[in-house]
Amino acid sequence: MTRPHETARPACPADEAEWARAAAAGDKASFARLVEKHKATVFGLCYRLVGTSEEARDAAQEAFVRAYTSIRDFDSRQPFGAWVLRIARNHCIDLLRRRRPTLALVSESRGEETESGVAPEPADLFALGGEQAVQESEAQRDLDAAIASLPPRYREVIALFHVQHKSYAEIASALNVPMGTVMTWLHRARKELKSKLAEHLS
Amino acid sequence: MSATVHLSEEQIQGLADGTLRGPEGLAASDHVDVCAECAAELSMYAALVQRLMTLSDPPPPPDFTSDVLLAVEKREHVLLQRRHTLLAAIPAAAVGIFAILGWALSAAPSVHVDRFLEIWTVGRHVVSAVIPVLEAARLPIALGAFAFCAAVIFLLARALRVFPQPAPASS
Repeated sequence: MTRPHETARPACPADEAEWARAAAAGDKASFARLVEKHKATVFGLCYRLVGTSEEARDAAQEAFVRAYTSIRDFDSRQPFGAWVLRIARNHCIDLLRRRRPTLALVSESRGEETESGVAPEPADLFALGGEQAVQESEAQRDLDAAIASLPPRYREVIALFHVQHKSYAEIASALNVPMGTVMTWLHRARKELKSKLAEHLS
Repeated sequence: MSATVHLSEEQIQGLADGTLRGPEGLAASDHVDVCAECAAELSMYAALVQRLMTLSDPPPPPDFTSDVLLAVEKREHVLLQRRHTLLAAIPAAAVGIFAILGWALSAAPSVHVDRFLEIWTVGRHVVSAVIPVLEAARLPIALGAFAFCAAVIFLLARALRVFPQPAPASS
């Protein structure tokens, strides 16, 4: 997979800058376009940080509301996505500080959610693909658990780099840290994951 | 690069995720070809990166954007109410300051000081006379104060409650 690794900070796309200016003037339709464009990224980061879909929805919603109420302070030369990610991240960090650490991702791992919130029975997995499917599912659950046990800043970079496929520059802009810091966090995060998941990786 | 000098963990991770490019990347690849230890490390990291690449987050709810817009409207309403409260407080504060200044400038400062000392002395006498009575009736007074505060807080909470705006009728 190719990924841009430019060293310069990314700029705001022209359409986003225009929508942000219109939103600052009170145009909610333009703000809705910005929300539509960035909701998946913001929701994804919140999900990786707070651990459950329900809390991620609330956190992402609050991030966008805060973005709207302070959109007059937004510098349209910077990317809107990075700005709103920064707001979301700060809000999630506040939420995490207010509560005890949770490993909710362990129980709410990818692909296990159903309408009722109940995980599928192992029998379903056998029906889908036998023992290999069960092993895959266990490995996936272990991966989610290992990520959930990382410190928040490591979870952020893992989510933004590997799940959202952002470049180092974009992540640095979103987290408001130098690119070198992003690379260091990513290396350390993967090192921790490697030691936690050695059994599955060897 | 010599096979005895191993690659750093960062270089191996860079090879695994494809971010180590150019001459350094080529040299690192050449080294991995002849170094079993680094090759084993690379294989672990490559497997990890592959697993990480399969990660995906659940999608946001379908009505997420409309919920955000509703929340924005509610927040705007609250902010507007706060602004109105502040706007009402400014003239009240101005009147208060005007009254205090008017009182202070109505006579020479020494007159105010004398009057203040007089009030202070009278107050001390009153307090020393009232304290034994208050001590005797401590419990009923505390209960009365609690009931009074509870009533005031209840009334304030009702008065300051933000009522949700009715949702616009759908066409």
